[in-house]
Amino acid sequence: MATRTRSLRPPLFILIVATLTVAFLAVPLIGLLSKASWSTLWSDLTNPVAVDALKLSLICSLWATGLSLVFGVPLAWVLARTTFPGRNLVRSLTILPMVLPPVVGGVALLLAFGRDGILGRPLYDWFGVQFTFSTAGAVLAETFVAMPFLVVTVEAALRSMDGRYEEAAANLGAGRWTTFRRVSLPMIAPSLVAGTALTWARALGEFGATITFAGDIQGRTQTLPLAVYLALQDNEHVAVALSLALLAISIVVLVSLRGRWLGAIVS
Amino acid sequence: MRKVDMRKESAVIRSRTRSAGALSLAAVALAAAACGSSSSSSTTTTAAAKLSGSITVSAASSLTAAFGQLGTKFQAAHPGTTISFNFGSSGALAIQIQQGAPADVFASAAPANMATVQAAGDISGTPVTFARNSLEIVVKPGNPLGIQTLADLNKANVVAICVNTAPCGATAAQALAKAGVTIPTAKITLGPDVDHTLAAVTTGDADAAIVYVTNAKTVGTQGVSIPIPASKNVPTSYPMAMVKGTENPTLAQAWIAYVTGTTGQKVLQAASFLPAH
Repeated sequence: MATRTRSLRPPLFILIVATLTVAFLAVPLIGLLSKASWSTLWSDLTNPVAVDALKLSLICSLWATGLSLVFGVPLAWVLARTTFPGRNLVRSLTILPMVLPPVVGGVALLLAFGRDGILGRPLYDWFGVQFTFSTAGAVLAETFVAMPFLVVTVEAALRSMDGRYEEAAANLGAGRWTTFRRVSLPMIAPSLVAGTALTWARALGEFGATITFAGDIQGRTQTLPLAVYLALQDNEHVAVALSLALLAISIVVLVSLRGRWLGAIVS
Repeated sequence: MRKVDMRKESAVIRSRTRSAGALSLAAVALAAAACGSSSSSSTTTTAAAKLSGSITVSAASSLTAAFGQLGTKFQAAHPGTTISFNFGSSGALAIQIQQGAPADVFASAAPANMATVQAAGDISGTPVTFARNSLEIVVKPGNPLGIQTLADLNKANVVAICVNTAPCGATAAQALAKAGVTIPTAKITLGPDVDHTLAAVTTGDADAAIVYVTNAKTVGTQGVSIPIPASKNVPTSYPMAMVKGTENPTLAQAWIAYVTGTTGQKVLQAASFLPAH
């Protein structure tokens, strides 16, 4: 540790490369800001298409985040606390949507939940439920792509947590559910918040799986990123305005998380 | 994603062409001998035709199949040339060209998009019309909803139409207006280009799509195409022109001549395009 803090001056080469990296990441954002037409910003953001997209994006991403919490936290607990044959396989399967191109995820969802899909056909034939081209489909697509972020973050937190607290609680007579609710969950709270925010941000930005699986219907499946993509060919300043809205939301998430919360992701 | 890749690729090709152009033929031959297959494009230059190098053709996505075929034929007829394609909606391509994307030829699915690029001063010479197309409806196999006309599209739960910046979207809107049909926004899924619009029916769950006749011909068993009568149809013509600042005007002109020539027209008409005039 002592040696690490002593080397305050990095080699010049590393400093140059690091500066270039910062520029590479920052210049596109500056480009976005420089292209913004501030005088029309409000009208660009309040036209019916933009309002529909904003509303829909919030609804879908919050649903996707909620579903990820409900289904992702138990899975993370199982992966962190139990051993069973094929656990690594299950974990890889869980992480797969993180690395899969979202468009491929969309195609896979079509084959599973489309009207002719493995699950989609019985759902449609028996209950008349159709996910494709519906808001529920957009939520499904976002959940598929974003949930792994929550599972990975929470599992890592549970693993790095001191298991003796759970043991102590159990020895003092707490049931398994009480231990999970009163000991494990509060202890991983920072990671849970960070994971939730990451999941939400990923869901908010989802494009490929949504357009492939749920289509692009205004007010139904046309979320902000889809609206940005279409506006780019038509009204560039609207596309920039919507992009700025997404950028502002992302910054708010980052700032509200602060270093403390973000640190939890790394641990 | 495909567009970005093509751009990168053409940037690489471009730098190769430029360096080749700077060298004398003898030096090119030497370089070819030294580098092997990587500069094989230059070796045949001395042998037969004057055509060499490569160009990027930005073409409307409805031309994907026909141009792909013509590209292969052209390269076979003129060894040493490379025709790369960047397919997309004509609206998107027009914007790309205006923003300086490396394209040598622009083939648009509508005169309007060509006019935009021309007005921006990015076209050299006069565009030539090389084909025409019209619209058709495509529905699910077996036509379960019994859709026969544009008005019947309101029976569908979801109708796929191109975005209005793509010519297929603009003409579809005109055709619907001509037929006096209004489809509620909540039923319309917008495809970024004609291929995606058709895919919403063939691979997705949209009930119907309005696409070009040439696309409708390709559905096979994945759908049924329903003609739109001429009185309600909106034909569109395809102009093509050389982009200003191309580094290979000879090859660009040769490609345009090839498409408007006998072979080009034969291939296009086999794909159900209508003759230009």
